Amino acid sequence: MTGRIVRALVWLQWRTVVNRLTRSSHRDGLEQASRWSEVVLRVIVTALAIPLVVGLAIAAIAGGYVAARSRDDAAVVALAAGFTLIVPLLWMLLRPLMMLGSGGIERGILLRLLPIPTGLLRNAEVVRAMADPAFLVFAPAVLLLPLGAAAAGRPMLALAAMLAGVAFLAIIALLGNVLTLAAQLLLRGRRRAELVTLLFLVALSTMGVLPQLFVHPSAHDGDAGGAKTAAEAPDAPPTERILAFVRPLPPAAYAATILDGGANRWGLAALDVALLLAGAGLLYAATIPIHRRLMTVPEGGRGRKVDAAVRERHLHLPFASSPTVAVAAAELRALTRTVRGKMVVLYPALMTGMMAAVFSRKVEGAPPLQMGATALGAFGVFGTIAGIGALACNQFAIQGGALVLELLLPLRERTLAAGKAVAIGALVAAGLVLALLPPAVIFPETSPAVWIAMWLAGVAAYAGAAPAAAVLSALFVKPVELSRIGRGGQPNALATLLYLIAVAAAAAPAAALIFVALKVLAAPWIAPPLVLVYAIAAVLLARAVLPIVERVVAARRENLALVVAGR
Amino acid sequence: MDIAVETHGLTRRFGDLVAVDHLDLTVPSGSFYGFLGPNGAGKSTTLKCLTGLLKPSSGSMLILGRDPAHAGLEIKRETGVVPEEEALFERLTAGETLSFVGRVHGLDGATLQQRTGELLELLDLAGSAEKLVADYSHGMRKKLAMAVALLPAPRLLFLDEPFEGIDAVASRQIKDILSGFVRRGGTVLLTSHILEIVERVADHVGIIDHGRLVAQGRLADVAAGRTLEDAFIALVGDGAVDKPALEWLA
Repeated sequence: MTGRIVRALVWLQWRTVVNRLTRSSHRDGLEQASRWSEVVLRVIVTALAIPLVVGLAIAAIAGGYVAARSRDDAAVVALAAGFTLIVPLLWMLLRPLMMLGSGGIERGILLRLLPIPTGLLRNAEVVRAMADPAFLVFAPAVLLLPLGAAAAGRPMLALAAMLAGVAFLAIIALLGNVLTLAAQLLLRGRRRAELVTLLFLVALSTMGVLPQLFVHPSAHDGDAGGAKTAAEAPDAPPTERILAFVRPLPPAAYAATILDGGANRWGLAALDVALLLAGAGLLYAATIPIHRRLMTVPEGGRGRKVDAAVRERHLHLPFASSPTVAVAAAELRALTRTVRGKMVVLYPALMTGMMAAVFSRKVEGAPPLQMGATALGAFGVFGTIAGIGALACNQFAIQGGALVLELLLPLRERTLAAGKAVAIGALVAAGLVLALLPPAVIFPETSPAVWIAMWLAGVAAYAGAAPAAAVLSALFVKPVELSRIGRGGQPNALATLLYLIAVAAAAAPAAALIFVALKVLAAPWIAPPLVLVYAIAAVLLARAVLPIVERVVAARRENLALVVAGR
Repeated sequence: MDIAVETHGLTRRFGDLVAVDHLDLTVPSGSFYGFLGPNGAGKSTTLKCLTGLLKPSSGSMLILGRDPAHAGLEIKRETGVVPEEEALFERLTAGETLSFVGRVHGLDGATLQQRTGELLELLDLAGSAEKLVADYSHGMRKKLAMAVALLPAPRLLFLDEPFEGIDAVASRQIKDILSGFVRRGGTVLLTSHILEIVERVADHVGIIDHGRLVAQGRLADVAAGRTLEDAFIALVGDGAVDKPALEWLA
């Protein structure tokens, strides 16, 4: 029975992939092209990964051969293997949150109702984890390293490396599985899921810069510090001591096996292998209660209260009709309540804030870090507009079925596009303020005129690119969930690329005007009025091309409705 | 007789599949029209064509005496729709959703507030009006979709399976609302799989099978002395006698 069920599960996985590509009779040619462009990009990435896999495998065989020659060579190979294998370990640690967009085990409601043993279902999830790209890239190398050792005439080393390799791969797959299951259990309630996702994104985005803030000034003691480090070099711990310290980590335990095997310390090598096997066993044991709980605890979550809407006031905007404002207000409200909506506004501010803090630090004796206030501001502006692409490039699908409601209401396509552009524009305007505020505060010597000009430049760049974004959204529509990360929240890749080109084109004149004001005329206060004129021109141009956007959206409305309805 | 919805040769194809095949539909004004058919017969596709979500491949339509191809917005101002799929903003509250729809329809603040309060109260959503739609159950979403359709006080309602997932109490309330709406001169075009409900509330029916209209007219005429279920089975389920009896089923 088990074999039959396994075959059925494999077939299910295969058919899901094939049907996603081929069974979409309701889609038109352009929509098919849009979907295939995503597939082609993945094929390109896969094709690029093949040389990496082959290269790693060849390096692993050579490493096995070299490790078999002497203790010192084994130490070098062990260190290289240990560091290399940190990559799949880190990937598997991050994978659960990164892959939440794909749905994971939540697809299994039907599977849960079928007579499939729970253990088999659990093991199937472990096997699915082995299909992860990181696993597939590194597994051949780990499994082929023993071949080199065997070729060099060290069968015991080959055996130890093989056992350690298999145990390491099991740990990687099981770790990914356990964390995915635990994350899914944790994220079942919508509010809790969104909070965790937001915190994760904030942590992830600040991870690279945060350590710089805590670097002790003595670390920048220039030549003196360098001399000290050099003087300490002879006392640096040998490979064995480093490994002894990090041995509990799976890559280190794997490296230690090669090192100990290379040095003929078979007792220690056996201990390393036992450590890895025990780790794999513990992880497997951990999957059992988590999986059981995931299967038995229903999905749910209490709702949160938001402002009472019945009492809400009607907004009015100059030059915008009431329906346009209604669309904009609804979009804005709904967007700012999603994780991605919050992130596109907060993320650039986080980055510019932390970078401004890092670059403004003056450590005695250390060379100044090279990034001027204007460059940091430009980075913030570009980051804001690029980040908003996640919404702008897929603006007709980001609210899901709500688009059908909008299409059923007495709204012209022009009103719909304008309302969405206003909503996203409001996010851009707010995001730009937040992104420019930290550098403006931390670099007070920079003229306020520069920050005003940059804010206007950002608004102008978005306004200039907004019609292109609307057209791209209509052409390359993709159903997304904005409170998930990973592929589930990303727009079509080609649409994003074309949007960035449009942004660059729209931003270029504004950047040139700021450059002329600052560098040629050396008069910062001229920059804001110059860019304001350009911004007004960009808005008027965007308004003028609305009929073109309207025609494209009208031509695509049927397809848009089908896509957001999941057809 | 005033006609609220009229189609001539309405056809919609998806590639080789003809979902709606030369449909001649006639829905009298002030009628409660039950549009019935087996799964995949073309009911929802027809409704999508009538509400502008799908373009017909051929044929013509008149909704409230106007051609949707030329007067789409005017028609939408006078119609309400509960579509097949959930068409709601996940991250708006019920109140915000109704506020949005009311503003698009140009309702003033006082009218909007009054209608929103009454609809939410009647549909038993007042206690959840401040929750996001994302946290609503399927039945609550259906009720909100109904409120959205009713809010602008339309002349014509298109309802695609409005009773699906609705509890008995709310179902009764909705039936009463719709019956009152028709008594006051409104027109309802409703699809439903629950024939008992249609039999109780509808005065006209149309039955579609494989995209073709197989019967249409007053309920009493179509039923011809039988129950609606018997008439329906006779019209679209006549092959049932030749189908496997599943004798292996215990």
